[in-house]
Amino acid sequence: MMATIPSTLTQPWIRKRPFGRYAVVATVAMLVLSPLLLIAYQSSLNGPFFAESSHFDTGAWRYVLGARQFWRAFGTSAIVATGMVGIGVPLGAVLAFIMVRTDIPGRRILEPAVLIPIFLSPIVTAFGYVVAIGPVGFISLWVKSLVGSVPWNVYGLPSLIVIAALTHVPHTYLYVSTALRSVNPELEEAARTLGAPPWRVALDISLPLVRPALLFSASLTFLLGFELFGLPLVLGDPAGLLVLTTYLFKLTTLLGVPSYQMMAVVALSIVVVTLPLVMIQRHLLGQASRFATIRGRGLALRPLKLGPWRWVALTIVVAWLLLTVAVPLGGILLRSVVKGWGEGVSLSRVLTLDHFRGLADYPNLIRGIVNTIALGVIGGAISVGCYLIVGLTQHRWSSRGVAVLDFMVLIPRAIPGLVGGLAFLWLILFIPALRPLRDSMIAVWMAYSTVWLAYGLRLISTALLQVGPELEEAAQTAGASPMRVRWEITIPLVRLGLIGSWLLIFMMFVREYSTGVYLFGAGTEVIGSLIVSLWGAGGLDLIAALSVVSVAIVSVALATALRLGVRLHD
Amino acid sequence: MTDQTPVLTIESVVKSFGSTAVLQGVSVTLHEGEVVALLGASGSGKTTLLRVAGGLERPDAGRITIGSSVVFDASSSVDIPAEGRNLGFVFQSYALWPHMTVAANVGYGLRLRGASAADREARVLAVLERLGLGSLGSRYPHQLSGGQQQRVALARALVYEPPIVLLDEPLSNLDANLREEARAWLRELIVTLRLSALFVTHDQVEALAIADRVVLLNRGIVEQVGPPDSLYGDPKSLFAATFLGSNNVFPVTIDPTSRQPDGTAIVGCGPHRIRSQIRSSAGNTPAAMAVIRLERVSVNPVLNMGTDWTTLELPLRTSLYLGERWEHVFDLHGHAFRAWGPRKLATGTHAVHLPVDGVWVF
Repeated sequence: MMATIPSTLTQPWIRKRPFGRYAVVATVAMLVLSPLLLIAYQSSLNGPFFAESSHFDTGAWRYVLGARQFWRAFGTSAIVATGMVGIGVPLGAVLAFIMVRTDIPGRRILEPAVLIPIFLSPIVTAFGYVVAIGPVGFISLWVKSLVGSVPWNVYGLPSLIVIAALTHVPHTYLYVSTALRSVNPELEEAARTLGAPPWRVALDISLPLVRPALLFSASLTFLLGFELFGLPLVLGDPAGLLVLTTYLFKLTTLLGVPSYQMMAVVALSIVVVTLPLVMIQRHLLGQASRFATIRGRGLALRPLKLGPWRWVALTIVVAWLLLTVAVPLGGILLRSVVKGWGEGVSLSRVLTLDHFRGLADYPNLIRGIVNTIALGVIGGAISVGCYLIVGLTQHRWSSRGVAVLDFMVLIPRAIPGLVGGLAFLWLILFIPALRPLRDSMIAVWMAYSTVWLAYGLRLISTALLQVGPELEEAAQTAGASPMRVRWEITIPLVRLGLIGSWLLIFMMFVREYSTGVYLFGAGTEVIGSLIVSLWGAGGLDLIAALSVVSVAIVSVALATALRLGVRLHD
Repeated sequence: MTDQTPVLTIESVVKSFGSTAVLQGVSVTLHEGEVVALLGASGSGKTTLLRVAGGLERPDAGRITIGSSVVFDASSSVDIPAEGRNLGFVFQSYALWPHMTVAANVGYGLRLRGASAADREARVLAVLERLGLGSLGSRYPHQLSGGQQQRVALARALVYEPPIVLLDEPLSNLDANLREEARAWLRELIVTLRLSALFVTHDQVEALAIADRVVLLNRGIVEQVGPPDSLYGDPKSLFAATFLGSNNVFPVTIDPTSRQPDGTAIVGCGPHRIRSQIRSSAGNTPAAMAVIRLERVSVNPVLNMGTDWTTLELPLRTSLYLGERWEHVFDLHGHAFRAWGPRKLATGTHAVHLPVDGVWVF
């Protein structure tokens, strides 16, 4: 005899108000808005916000907006950002076209290689350029021995623009190649059957079709140009060149006294530029959906046959990879195993592993490495968990709450890591209940998680979108509550996507440096912030060894990600 | 009504994707003013054949001639690319460019051919009017309905008056009720414009209705070519017979002693004996398959149609109501045997009549 099935479901079927969802929206809003509001508040005071004597005053605004150095830094930031767009976007578009639409040899090896710069810490890259092509860099000295002088200067505006542009090419590449891949090949074939030769197809059809991606890449590159910190700190500062972020970083030194209100004004003026850019990007993404087309049967397009020109295409890609990846990474690797370097030094006589052994002599460096890995592994996992909660809140929820959430997660994109870290430091000082968090890794983790919120959430929602709605509806109609549907259907289905997100967030946390600059103290060092402070003290040997460690950690994660088949982009 | 001048000749075309042979020596000819349908199941190679003709895929072997010029010949390595073939091609997805207006989409082929702006405008307007899209020139493709998009795709391929039009599943993206209307509309348009058209479809009704001739493809081989009525009424193989129409198919054993000079013989299916037409190579072995179209079967004939092994007494399993008719399912020695009738039948055994020329044995 069969057991009887209860005729009524164990749970009463009452449609409840989604209080949990509203709570998530409120938490995110608080996390995102409070640092920004605190900065705005501080900028309108005449002293530190925690000093009782402070009162409302526009003096800080008047002082900063009247300072020539501020405007010079602002101008430099604008020039650097514009230069990055001018060089990086066309180059990225060309790379994307070559990689996606032509029969370039060795595509399978080149494809993941093109993305490497995204996962390299800018401070490490900048340092790599200094030891490779700086005044006494390996390549510089080699060239000098050939032609008698070094025909370039790694410090200064032109090289800062070129290096920033080259290292930001992958951002354009990512968006344009994704867009090119999603163009229905039939749209191009239709033009060919009507009589258009391949170059006209590219000009009349392919490029106009990815125009939203090109515009998006341009505005993203411009935004990243304003948020640059590591590159201008290493490559600009020695030449007396300040951009907005390095100006903020140096403000205390420049003024002689720590000045909270001035820092707040500078920080806010960066956000004033970046926030509209983020809004423009949001608009561009919305526009891009208008370009969605009916997909054909996914027939692969006959790639454009370049003939002998494919070697030219290969040269372009390889030259870019050499300049952007091989030169800085080679420089660091070499620098980390030599005692010193100069004219006439023979490599075999200066080889050493002392720098790596030297790391052990400094407990703070070892702690920094351990902290970095722990922050990536444990903190990364918790962050992915938090992003998942936010992602599930948005998932299949049609409410005004989603629009609010959408908007909230955009704001951190407009906040450079340096400003984010500063804001969190202030927040901890401002709220008595948070004060115990000072000098703890929890504070660092909170700042990292907030700064990377938009990125992490995109990874999660990409994974969640893969789940067919009917799979969830089937569970719901079988009687599962919304919570059980998420727990037993949705989350198990996106398992692999979560592991991939964890790996990517891990890499981003290891690579991150500027967010930790203000938050790190004794016990909460991370590799990135250690390099920044060692750079100020000129500890080249240790910087080289630390950089290699950082690159090694990221490489392991990247290799694992590729092995697991994690998509490195959406 | 069709001229016998070939405008497109495809000879012994072979094409493989990796280790999969998609076309295994296919030859098709399209004459001037003729509409030819490439009919087949998915994987039959019909779309590949169309893309080969259009220059979008490169065949491994064979020869393709458009008008009097050879556009592809594997033996002399002639390969004119798609843009040099001057064809009209209508894609299954329509492939309308979302960044261009309807008028710009339609006028693109004229722009490539260097037509003046005024000439272009006039001709675009003319073709849009002809296709009933007169007022939509300034719209964008995403603002149009599926049916309108399909007409724009057609207009774009017709505006520069190519000698041949190739259509890939032109009606498959339309809703079912729209598709029936579009079928008649498309046939009428092709005939009045005197187009030479080659079109791919997996829908037999579409192929039979629109085409002058149908090419039936099966796994990269031409199974049969002919006018729609001969393809339907005189199939040369079991595949051709069962691919078209609604059929009863059941295994039979041929009685060799019963063979007549007119090609008929008695076949057996369990206890039942049926007089039928022995076709093609069947008959060399006693085991064979019998096919009869459902519309040839009649239940409880009013007149006694004779007892010369054309009427069977079969028990009724079930009846289905299809709206305009009933479908009755009988039991033929364990096989479901279907027939159509105007009304419901009582349970029990019924007389089922199978005309001799309706039962084909392969």
